[in-house]
Amino acid sequence: MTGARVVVDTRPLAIVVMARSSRYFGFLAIAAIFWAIISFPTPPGLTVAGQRVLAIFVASLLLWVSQLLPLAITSLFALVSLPLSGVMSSEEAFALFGNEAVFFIMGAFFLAAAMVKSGLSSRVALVFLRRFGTDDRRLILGLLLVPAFMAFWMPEHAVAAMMFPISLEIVNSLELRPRRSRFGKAVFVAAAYGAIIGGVATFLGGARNPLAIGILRQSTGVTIGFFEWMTAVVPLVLFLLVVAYFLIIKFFVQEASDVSGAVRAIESKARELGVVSGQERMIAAIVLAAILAWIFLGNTMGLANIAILAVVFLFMFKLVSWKDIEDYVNWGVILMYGGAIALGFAMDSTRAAAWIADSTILARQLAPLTLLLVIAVTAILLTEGISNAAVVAILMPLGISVARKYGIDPKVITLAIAVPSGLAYMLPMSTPPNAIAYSSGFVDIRDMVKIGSILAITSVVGFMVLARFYWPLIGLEF
Amino acid sequence: MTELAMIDNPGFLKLDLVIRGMKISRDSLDSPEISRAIRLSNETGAALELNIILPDEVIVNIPVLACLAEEKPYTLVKKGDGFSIRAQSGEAVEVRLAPTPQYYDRKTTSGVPMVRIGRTYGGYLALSPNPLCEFIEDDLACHYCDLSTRDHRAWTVDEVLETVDAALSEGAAEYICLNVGYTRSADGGIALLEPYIQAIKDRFDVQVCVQAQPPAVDHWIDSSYAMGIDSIAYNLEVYDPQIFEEIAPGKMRVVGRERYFSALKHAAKIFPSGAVVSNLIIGSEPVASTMKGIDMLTALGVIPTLPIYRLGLSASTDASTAAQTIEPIYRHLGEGLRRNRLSPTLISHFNLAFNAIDGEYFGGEAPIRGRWETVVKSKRGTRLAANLSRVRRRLRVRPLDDDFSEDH
Ligand code: SF4
Repeated sequence: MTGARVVVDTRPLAIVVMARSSRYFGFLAIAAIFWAIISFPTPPGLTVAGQRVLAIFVASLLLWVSQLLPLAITSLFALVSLPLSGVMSSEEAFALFGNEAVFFIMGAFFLAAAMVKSGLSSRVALVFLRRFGTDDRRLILGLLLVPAFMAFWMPEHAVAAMMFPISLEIVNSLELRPRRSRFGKAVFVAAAYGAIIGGVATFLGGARNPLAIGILRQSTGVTIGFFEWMTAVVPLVLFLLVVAYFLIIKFFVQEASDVSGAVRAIESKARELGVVSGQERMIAAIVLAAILAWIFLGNTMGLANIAILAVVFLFMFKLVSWKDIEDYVNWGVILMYGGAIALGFAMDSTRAAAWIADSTILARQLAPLTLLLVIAVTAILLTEGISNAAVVAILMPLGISVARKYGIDPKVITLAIAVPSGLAYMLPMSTPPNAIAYSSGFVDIRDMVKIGSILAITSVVGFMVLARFYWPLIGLEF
Repeated sequence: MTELAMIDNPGFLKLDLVIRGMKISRDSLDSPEISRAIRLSNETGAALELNIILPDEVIVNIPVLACLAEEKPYTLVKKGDGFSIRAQSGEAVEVRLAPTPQYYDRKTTSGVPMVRIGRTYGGYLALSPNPLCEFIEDDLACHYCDLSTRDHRAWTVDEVLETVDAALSEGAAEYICLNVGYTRSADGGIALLEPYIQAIKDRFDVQVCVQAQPPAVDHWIDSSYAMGIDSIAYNLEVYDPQIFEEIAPGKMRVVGRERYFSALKHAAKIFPSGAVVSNLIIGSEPVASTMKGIDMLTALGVIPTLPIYRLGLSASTDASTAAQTIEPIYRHLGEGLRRNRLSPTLISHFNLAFNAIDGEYFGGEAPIRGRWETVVKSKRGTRLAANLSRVRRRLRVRPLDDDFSEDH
């Protein structure tokens, strides 16, 4: 046997049946809502095509939020619903799947796979950590900054997964006890929040950022360059890292601890990796070249072209195998983004998104700063409950309409949605870095909610200050 | 009680036949059914028994070879095309012989006589596919353990499947009952049965009951249900702790009496009501102790079955004395089941051991009889029950995995 661990639900059978079939009731309810929207008389200001897209959007939104279907499958449902409901032809709908953002995400995943598989990412993390670990506070600073910096260049969930064994080694070497040790909590919370905060800095930390850019570009033709994004967001990242550091120290590191054991553990882990291999050097060179190209040539060469070209070089020099890529890449995310971009485009082109903007609170003439606050707060609240990519998929089409209506630069709205939607601090299920920290057994939900809520509020405040005073200086007006 | 009263009451007759035995008349020996049973016994070396169906479809199982020559109070005689059982007083009652299944003559592809792998008793096919029991190896075997039925290698899954297929397709059995000994692993031995159970459940719409020892940890009880077991028996055998240790030293010293109770209690939460069973051997301890055992088990949600084929009562015991012993126990059992709202419907297929179903013959009530029982035991009924059981399992069992939702 397997002795496969199972749970036997011993509640009364009627309740079990209800609980088990709730998913089908959910589907029925969503189908009923879909049907109701479709069959309602078309309201003034909305076209018939717009009404259909609206029905698809609402159904997708409910499916994304409830997770009754995997995110990717909901996106595919949205994609095929567009031609099936006569909103656009199959050719048009599927062509939207070939958006540049989708290929950029794919290329970025491939590069990250090469870094992880070759051990390069762990080496970089350990090399930097060695420079920090002389006392307890510096160690925590290192555990916050190293993943933050790594998440500039690779997906934050990959960074969190890579940091986990290192953090585990540290707590084991210090003989810290799960749940009890406050320093142990600090170790895992720092690694998680570092990855989360760093993940908003570039297009590479979270694929939601290219998704937002993809929807922006598809709907408006406008785009945000790699360097432009970094220039706009990095100051916020630095501010949040400082706040996170002091919060972690305040909550978890009151008295000094001896971390010499941890320093030794980091040293020995670094030694285990041996000398830098030729393969790692080559991968590092290619990734570095790609980053420089994204920064300096992104607008002319195209981000996706650079990413894919870098991948071609990886294979040309046999630095990674197709099997490695297959195992590592989250293909579901790629499928999800294709569908979400198509739906976002349809929402915009049929003016369904504009109609929503006109008929909700957003129709009132809010001050642009207030509008930005409403959007950022909505995004940061939503992202605690649902996937941050789903938040982008839901809010972007509306955001672009609102930007048009208010005459605001759509880039500003894109940043106001994409950046807060990446900052989920409070719950283990909000984002993989939190889930990984929670799975260590050191951190409990109360810790996360306590420190995460303060950090979320600080994030919104920091974001607003940045938008109000800094962005106009770099040409992002609203 | 007179022999007449005894022979007219199928419950008492079964009891008396089990205690005092029966012989076979010369003319019966020539009947095709019995001569076939004897031939099979000689050919395979397997101890064959006759399954005799008494009035009211009460089935009793009697070893054939043990009763050919000895002096017995009852004789099986040929009567026309059928049989009857005649008491020494000359009173007789018509009976039928449950036909010896055809598959008893067949061999598996690997050449093992199927009768060695599994035998039918009334409605069920009993199999002990793996003979391992660490109590036996450690010299702690239960005193009633029938070691002779376990002197074989472990049968392969294919051998067991072929036998089950043969028995089910000729209608010789409607249920499968698997037995397993004890192993010192966390699963207590049930893991030895898992491949067989899964294969049987994959291939056939049939209910499976298992007699095993309690696993060391509760999650194996959950896994037992999840792997497809419909009814489970952790047999306590005796309630009195001293006697328990005497007759089942392995169970007492290695597993522990308390573990039987806690495992049965957990199993009663996991399995459907009435599907958790435990034997209490009548006659092996004072009646008051058996009754306490009944109270304890029924309060835990467990149905006590009351075997008497291993009864402490000897063959010389007067049947009416045995009946007097049994009567209050059955009444007590009926009350215990009612008090704890337990229905023995599910275990009605254990129709060779004495159980609550036989209560009506000993002054108690029969919880199911007549049309309902016919439905439950019909081919369609058993298939329906197997499918309902499958649906219940699907609804209740979930894999335990930590599934963090994907997010990017
Ligand atoms: S548990 Fe007892 S009866 Fe069963 S096989 Fe082992 S020794 Fe024999």
